Amino acid sequence: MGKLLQTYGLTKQFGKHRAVDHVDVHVNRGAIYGFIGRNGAGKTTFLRMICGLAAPTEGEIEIFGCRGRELQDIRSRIGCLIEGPGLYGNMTAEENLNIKCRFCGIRKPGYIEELLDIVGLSGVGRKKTKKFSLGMKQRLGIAMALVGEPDFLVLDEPINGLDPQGIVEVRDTILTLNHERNITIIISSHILEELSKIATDYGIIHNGCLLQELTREELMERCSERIEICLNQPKEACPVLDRLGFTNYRVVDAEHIHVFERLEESGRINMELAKAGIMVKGLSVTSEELESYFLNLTGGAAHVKHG
Amino acid sequence: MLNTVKMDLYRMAKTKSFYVILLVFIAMTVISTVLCKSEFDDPEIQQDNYETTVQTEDGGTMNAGISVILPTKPGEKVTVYDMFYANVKGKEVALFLVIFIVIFSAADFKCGYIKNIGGQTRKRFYLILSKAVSVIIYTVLLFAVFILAQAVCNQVILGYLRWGPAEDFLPYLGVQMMLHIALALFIMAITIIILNNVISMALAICLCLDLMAVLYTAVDHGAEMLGVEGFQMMEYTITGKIAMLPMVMGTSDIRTSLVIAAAFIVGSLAVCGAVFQKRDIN
Repeated sequence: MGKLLQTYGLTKQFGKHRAVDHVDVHVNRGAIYGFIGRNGAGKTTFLRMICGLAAPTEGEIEIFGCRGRELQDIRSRIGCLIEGPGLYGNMTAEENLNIKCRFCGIRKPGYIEELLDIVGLSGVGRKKTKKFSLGMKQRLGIAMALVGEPDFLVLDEPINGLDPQGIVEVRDTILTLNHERNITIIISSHILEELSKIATDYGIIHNGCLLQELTREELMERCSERIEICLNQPKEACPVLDRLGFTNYRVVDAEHIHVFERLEESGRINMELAKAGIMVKGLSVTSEELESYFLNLTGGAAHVKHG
Repeated sequence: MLNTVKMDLYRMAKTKSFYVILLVFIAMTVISTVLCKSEFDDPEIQQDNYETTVQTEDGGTMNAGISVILPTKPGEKVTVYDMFYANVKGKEVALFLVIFIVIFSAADFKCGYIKNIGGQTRKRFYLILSKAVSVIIYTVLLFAVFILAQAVCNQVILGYLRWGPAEDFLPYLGVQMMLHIALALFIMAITIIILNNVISMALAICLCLDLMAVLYTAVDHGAEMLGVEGFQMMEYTITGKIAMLPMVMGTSDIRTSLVIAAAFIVGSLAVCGAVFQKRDIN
């Protein structure tokens, strides 16, 4: 799968503060990339640079294989919703979309109705957008981003402030766009639980630095229930696990093996390793919630405990 | 670029302030004509007004605030040109123009709509150019509405319609339109650069009411201290030129006015474009 977006040491500095610090992000074509970080982590600043609303202090952006000045040519293929929808409150949804359509040179009859239908706003009529609920505004913001049929959608916290029903609606819209129109989407949020329902890949940002990039499978694996074995020579333990018929396990690092099956046989594993002369320093059955995984990674857990 | 212009014109036509300001402006034209009629009926006031107009044209003096003084000679009929001259010189048109320009120029920044399009344009400067085109169209429209409304008012309120000498009226109209376009683009640039409606509006109104005269006087004194004799800052400003342009213009009046207008237009677009191109869109 080719990369649609790649950044190379992307940095944004405001005075002495580095809001984004040498971030290298890789987004595959067709992916829904969840960009996770706490408030003030640098998500919005990063996305604003991707959308061309802010200039990087350092580093480079590559989108659709274009870099530098070439990016001007593909900007129209990117739709964005950054920091809430920018709408004229005294105009209707149709008029707001009409302005963007004129900007993009689109005069197709029924185009605006189609967009409103996609985001579930086809029945709003002549209602001014200042009278819209937050969820309706967010959905109209997505519709605005869809004008010009972009191949890449940048959504900054589109579920922020929405009620549960609104979250479900926006989530369904995003999934529909990804599945039916094959639009690659980068979506930022600080709510990992919500992102986990739609994202195929994740990037975790903290204090402007990208801490980790991982696929949905990798995240699920890290958060799933497992036997964690801590020992000095993990490679020596592999033949023992193989002999016992374990196939779904992984050597995580120089001291840890994670086993993802037959969790009730932890005692047997311990005994067999001891028999083989392998010293086990620790063995436990653990699992991690998505939220606590994120908090541990970003140091949030410590803050929560101290708080 | 053409699409961007179409977008801005559509936006302008959909803005409530566009219609409100035009309606209030027409109402002001009616009120102004009614007031002028009452003055015109009194020969003493008419004589005073005429003398005041001649004095200001000769002496280059200006008053702060808006004052609409008819230049019609005693015994003559009030023409559309007389009313046009009095209102434009009094900066009534300029005032309504800048109020709309501040609202229009700041609207897409204020509501955040600029984020939807700011990153998608090939060159951000096109967004400034497009806005400038809309501003120019609005200025021309405002003048057209004013002349039409004034003609109707003359017919209905004064009971007759005289256009005035076309050989004086048309050049005056053309030069004043250029000066007003320059003023509008200058205010647009200020609004986009400082991104603060209140300050932009206050500054625009101060310019129209000649409240900057205090500053100009200080500059004049400074120039005099540096040995520059007879320097008058007002002569090199757009609002100064709008107020001091005589009814019967000489070639030098036209030339200096057009040069000043062109300098302000080019300067405003260049600075505003450079700032907008460089600055992040928030």
